[in-house]
Amino acid sequence: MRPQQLGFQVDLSRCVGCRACELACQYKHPRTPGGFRHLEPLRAEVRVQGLLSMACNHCAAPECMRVCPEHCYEKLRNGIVRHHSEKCVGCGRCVGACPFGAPQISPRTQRAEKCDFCMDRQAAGQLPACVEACPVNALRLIAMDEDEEADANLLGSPLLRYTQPSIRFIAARQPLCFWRKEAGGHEPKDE
Amino acid sequence: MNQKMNKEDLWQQTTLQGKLRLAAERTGLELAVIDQAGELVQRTAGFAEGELSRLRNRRQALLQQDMTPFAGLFLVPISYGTQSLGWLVTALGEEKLTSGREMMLMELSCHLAFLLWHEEEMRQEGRRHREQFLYDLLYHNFESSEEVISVGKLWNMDLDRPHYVVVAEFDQPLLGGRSQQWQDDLERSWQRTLLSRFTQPITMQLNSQVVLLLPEQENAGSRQAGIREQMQATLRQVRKAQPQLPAFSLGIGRVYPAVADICRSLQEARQAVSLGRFHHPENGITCYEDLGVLKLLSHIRIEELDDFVQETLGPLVAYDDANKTDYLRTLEIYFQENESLQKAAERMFIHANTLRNRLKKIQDVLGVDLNRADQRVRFYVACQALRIIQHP
Repeated sequence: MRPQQLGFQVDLSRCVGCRACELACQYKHPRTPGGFRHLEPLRAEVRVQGLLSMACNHCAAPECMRVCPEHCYEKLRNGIVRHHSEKCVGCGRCVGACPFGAPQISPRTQRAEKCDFCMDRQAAGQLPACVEACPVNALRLIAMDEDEEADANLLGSPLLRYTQPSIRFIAARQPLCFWRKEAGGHEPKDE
Repeated sequence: MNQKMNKEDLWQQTTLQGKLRLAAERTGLELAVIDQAGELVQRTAGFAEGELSRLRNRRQALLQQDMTPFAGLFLVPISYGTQSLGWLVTALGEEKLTSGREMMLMELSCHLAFLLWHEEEMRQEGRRHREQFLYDLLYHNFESSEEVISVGKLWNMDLDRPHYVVVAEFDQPLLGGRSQQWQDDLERSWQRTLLSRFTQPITMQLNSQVVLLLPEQENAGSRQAGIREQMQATLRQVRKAQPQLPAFSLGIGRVYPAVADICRSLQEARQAVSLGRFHHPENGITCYEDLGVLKLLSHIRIEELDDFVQETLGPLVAYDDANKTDYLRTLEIYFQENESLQKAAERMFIHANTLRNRLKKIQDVLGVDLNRADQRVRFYVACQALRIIQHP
C-alpha cells in the first residue's frame, strides 16, 4: 500500500454542537472514561458560540512518537498514529507533549490511551464511529492532499505548525437570519 | 521475406544490447540509444564519441524535438503511448538511408520502446517498495529491530550502524507545477553529492521534504560539530552543482544507537529545520541540539508569548516608536552575536563605542542592568519569543 495520510475535516458552519461524535466515541470505547473525542469551545472571532470537535489528529510529525521512551507509537502507511498500550509504562511524556491533549492516562490501566481512528472499523470498510454518527456531515474522513497545509492555527499553539496535524477546517460562514426583522419592517443588514 | 526474417530475429533478442547489435549487423550502421536528456543508454562499439557529446551538448534542442543541430544524424523517437522514453540515433554522414534500413530502424524503435518502458516500470516498482520500507523505518512501523535490520540488508542498507537523520526543505512554499520537479532535483543532487562523502547514504522524499539518512562516520571527532561541518561542505557542493535551486534549509536530528530511534531523530530534524528558520530564515543548517530555548518556546501559546514580550520589551518598543530609534533591533543583534560588541557593531556598520552607548541607553529605557545574568536571560528569551511571534 502506498503511504498516504488520512485525516479529519471539520466544517465549522455545519457543526451544531450536538455532541453525537463524542457519544459515538464513548460508545465505541466503553472502557475509556469520556472517550477520546471532545468538543472545544471556539474563539469568538472564529465563530460565536461555536464548538470544535477534536480527537487525535494523527500528525504528520507526531510529537508523541518523538518523546515516547518505550517506542509505543508507530505511524501506519495510511497515516494513522497507533499506540501500543501493552508496551506503555505510563510515564505521561506523550500526554504533556501532544499540543491537542490526545493521549490520556487511563485511570483503569495507568497507561496512556488515545484515538486509533477506529482502525478496526476502517479495516471492515466502515467509517470511524464519530464520522458516521455526525448527523449534519460536519465531521468527515479525508485523504489529506500533500500540497495543502492543514490550517490548525485556530487553536493558537505555535507547536501546531511543526507537528502538521491531519485536520482541515472549513471556516464558518456568517449565519443568515431569515425570519427576524428589525423595527420598522426592515431586514437586518449584514455586518 | 528478408524484412520478415529481420523482425523475427529481433524478437529472438531479449536485451537492449542484443537487439542493437543485431540491427547494426543487418543495416551496417552504428547505433546508439539515448534518453530524453541526451544521456547515453546503450550503443554499438563503433558509434563515435564525438556524436554523443554533440547530442549531450544540445539537450535543449532534443527536449524541444528540434532536429536542426543534428545534421548527419538520423534520430528516431522512442515512445510508449504518450510517454517519451528517448531516441534511437544513427550516424549517416553523407549517406542516404534506404527504405529497407529505415523499416528496420522503425521496427527496432518499437522493440526498444517496450524494453525501456518495462525497465522504467521495474525501476518505479522497486522505488515504491523502497519508499514503503523507508516510510516504515522512519515512522517506527515494524515489529522488531532485528526484522528491519535484516530487511534493510536486502536494500543494501547497513541499519546496524547509527544514522544521522537530516531533513532538507525549501524555505518558501513552491507554487505552480514545478514543485515536484524542484524536489526531484534537490533529492538527485544530494544523492550525487553524498555518494562521494558517505558510504551508503539513503535519500527519500517525504511529503514536501527530502530526508537523508547518513551513517555515522567512525573517525568523526565531536559528533555534532562533525556532522554540521560535513553538511556545510556538502551544501556548498550541492549549491555549486545546482545554483538554480530555490533556497532550502537543513535540520539535523540527534544520532541514536538503535534503529528504533530513527523515528525520534526524524521528528527532531523536522523541528530543527522549522525552528532553525528563526535564526537563519534561508539556507540555514540547524542541529536539534542547538535549538536551546526555542524548543521550550515552541510549546507555548502565541498569546502567552505575546504577553511576555509586551511585558518585557514593551517599553523599548514604545521608545523606538516615539523617537524613531532602532534599539530593539540593536538588542536582538547583540544577543544574536553572542554579546560580542565587536561583531554586533560590525553587523550594524557602527563603531563599538556607539553600540556601547546604545546598550547603556537601552538599559536606561528598560530600567535594568544587563550585566546581571537573570536580566540578560530574561531579555534573551523575550527576543527569541519575539521572533516566533513575528513569523507566525
